[in-house]
This record gives sequence, C-alpha cells and structure tokens, in this order.
Amino acid sequence: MNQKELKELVEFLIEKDITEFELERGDVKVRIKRGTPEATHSERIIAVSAPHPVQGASAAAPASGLPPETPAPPAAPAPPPPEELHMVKSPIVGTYYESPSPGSPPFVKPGDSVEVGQVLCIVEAMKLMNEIEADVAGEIVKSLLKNGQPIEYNQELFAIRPKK
Amino acid sequence: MNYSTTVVSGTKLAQEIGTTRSEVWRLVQQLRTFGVEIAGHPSSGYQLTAVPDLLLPEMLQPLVRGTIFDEHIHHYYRAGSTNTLAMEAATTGAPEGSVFLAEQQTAGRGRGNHQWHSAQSAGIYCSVILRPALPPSDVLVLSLAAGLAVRSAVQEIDSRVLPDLKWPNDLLIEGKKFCGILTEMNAEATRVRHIVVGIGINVNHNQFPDELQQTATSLSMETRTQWSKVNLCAALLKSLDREYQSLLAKTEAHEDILRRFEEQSSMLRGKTVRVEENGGFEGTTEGLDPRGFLQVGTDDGLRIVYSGTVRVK
Repeated sequence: MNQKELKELVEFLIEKDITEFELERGDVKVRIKRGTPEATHSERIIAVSAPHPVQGASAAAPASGLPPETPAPPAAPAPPPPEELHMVKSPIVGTYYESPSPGSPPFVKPGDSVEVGQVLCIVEAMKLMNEIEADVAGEIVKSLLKNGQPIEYNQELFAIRPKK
Repeated sequence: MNYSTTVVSGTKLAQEIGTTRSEVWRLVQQLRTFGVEIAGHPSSGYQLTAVPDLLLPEMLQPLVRGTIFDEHIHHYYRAGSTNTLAMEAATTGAPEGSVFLAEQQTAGRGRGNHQWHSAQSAGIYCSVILRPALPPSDVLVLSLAAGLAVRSAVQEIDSRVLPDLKWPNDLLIEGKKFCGILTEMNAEATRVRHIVVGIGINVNHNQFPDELQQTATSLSMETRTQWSKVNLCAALLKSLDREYQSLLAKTEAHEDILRRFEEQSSMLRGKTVRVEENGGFEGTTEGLDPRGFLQVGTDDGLRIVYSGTVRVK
C-alpha cells in the first residue's frame, strides 16, 4: 500500500464516518481507529501503524488528508501516541494571505512559536482585511494553505501544537 | 475664524495668547506648513486669507451630534495612515465611534501594497472604529455599505454628481476613481472585536501625479467648484452612522444594502470584466450573490469573486 492509497483510505473512512478499520493483505497489516468528530476547534490526529513493516508503506497520516509529517521509521516498534493539535479556522469566506503585503515575509511559518493574539495570516473578503490571530499559544506545526488561495467559512488554516 | 477679514498685528496676537511676537511668528510659520493660508509678516500684522477648511473636532462635532461619531474625534495635520492609528487605538481599547482624521497621510494604504495618494489638505482621510455585536461573516456587507454611505454623502452636498460604485467599494466619476475604502477587522471565530473602516476621498485636488492622471479624479475637478471638506465629512459620518445603525437593528438591512448596491453600480450585470484573483480570469458579471460577493459567468461556469481587483473591459 502506497502513500496515496493510504490517504484515499483515510478520506474514505472519514467520509463514511467509519471509526474503526482493519486490513490484512499478505504481510501488510493496517489498523485505523478514529476518534468521533467533536464540535471543537481541535481534531484528533490518526495514527496508522504497520506492524509488519514493508517497503514503501508509510506509517502516519493526519486526519486532514495531508501527506504525513514525518514517516515513522520502518522498524517502528509501536504506534506513536495520538497527538492533539489545535486547528485555527477561518471565521469568514475569502482569500488567504500569508503576509501583510505582497512580497513581504509571511506572518508565521512552521516551527515558529506563537502567542495568543499573534497575527497568523489575513483573510480578505470584499476589501475587508481580517487579521486571523492565534487563539492558543504553541508551535505552528503546519500551514495548510497557499498564498492567494480562496477559502471557505470554517476552513482550517494552521495546525498548532499547544504549549504544555 | 471671526478675524478672517481683518489684519491683526503681531503684538495684539501675542498679548491675547500671552506670548511674544517672535513666538507668534513661529506659530504662524508652523500653521502655514499645515496648509493654513495666512498673509502678512511680523511688521504688517497677519490676515487669514481663507477660513481653513480643516477637519477639526470643534468644527465637526456640532455637525454630527446624535451619531456614534460625536464624541471621540481625533485630528492630525500629518499622520502615517489613519487606518493604522485607528487599528492601534482599537487594540488598546478605544471606544466604538472613535474617528481618526488627517489632513495629510505620509503612508496612506490601499489593498495589498497599494498606496493612497494623500495630498495635504486636499482630501478626506478618515478612519472609524466600529464594534458590532455580530459574527464576522455577517459584517462583510459593511464593506459595500461604506461605499453606499460615501455616495449618499456626496449626493447630499451636490445632487448633480452621480458617483458609480465599482465592486466592492470604489467610487468613480466618468470611470475615474475619487474614493477608495479599506476595511480592517479583528475577530474571534464567532465575535468581532473591532472593525476599522478607512475612507479616502479626493475632494479638492486640482492635479494628480502623472501615473494617476488617467485613473484618478477629485470632486472639485469634476464639478469645477471647491468643496467644503468639513461639510462633506460631516455628511459622510452621518450616512455611515445610518448604514451602521440599520445593519445592527434591522433584519432586512442586509438585503437592502445588496439591492441598493445593484441599483447604484453600473458594472454588476452584463459587463465583461477581468478579475485579478486566483490566477486571473475573464467573464460577464451576473450580479451579487446573497452574501454580497460578485458573480461572474465564465466558460467554466459561474465563479464567485471574494476579493481582488475587478476591471471592466
């Protein structure tokens, strides 16, 4: 099973709201368990493990269907514990901007530490510029969008690992 | 103001304000750099040649009484950007209805990194702080309402002028722009903390830099008369207050704003436009969607424009 197939599988499970799934094919074994969706800003990251390592099978895919952040080493003895990431979402429909003006450096990038109230990006709708702020302190793990991309109401913008 | 027709000696001025004649000279020179027209010199006395049309709180306050803007008017002879001043003030707790006005902006801003040409004392550079108790998605329409407010204020002063609205909120006369609006918002997911609506109007400019000549105009250039900035600014604050109060109070205000915008804008239906967003595309305008976004029919179907420059071809 390659990374693309794994991604499609995860998306299928989310779409059909299947919370538990197990597959054994030859020496590949995949087990996926999802938390039930909650009406909060946080979403659970799924851990997928391949107990019998095979070439090319990556081992972790976030729920949002993005490429895995760090592929687990082939001989990972146990699945990593599920990580709680805080998702920052857009309160409006609009166009996403990563920086205060074209050509200037982005407000934040993955790896940056942010404080509550720090501006992360701008979403523009009808020449109304909406500064999106961090609502938790922590580390930016992922920036999910491209500069200039149109976005929907409540679309996820950033994943933040909250400060303990 | 009452001395506008008389010559007053430097000695008399010095006595009245309790200072020296040389200090009076220094103050006169300073006023002149701010655009106040004063004739004369220390030996002959001074004369105000024109009652200065400055957006002073003392002048505006009586004219906007009863609106949310009548208490906290801040005036600057020179500021970087009134929007920046207002956003900073809002962050540190300035109340709703605070108004920031400048005779000149040294860093007037538009969308992206566009600048706003803000010549000294010729225009109105005005930013207001609003704190609506509405979710962020419900206040976007304020952007359209601000354009309607400027149009209504201009018409109140001179009903012969028929400004055209270019989505979302530029105001044009004969295809040339005389007003631009930039709105900035700070919001949580479900609650607006503050909104700053920044309005720049070319009022009494009689010329523009070369690069703007084809695209910019002023009210004075179009009507061949001098406009009172104070009266126009007061009319603007009053019409802005009306739009805002109705948006907060009336459930039908949202639809009403969209309906009036469609009436007063020539480019909303059947016009071929180029949209500089998302890689850029062309199509034919098909009115506003229920949220106030521009609908453009293209070969690939109907597209919704969220932001960006829309040019009529």
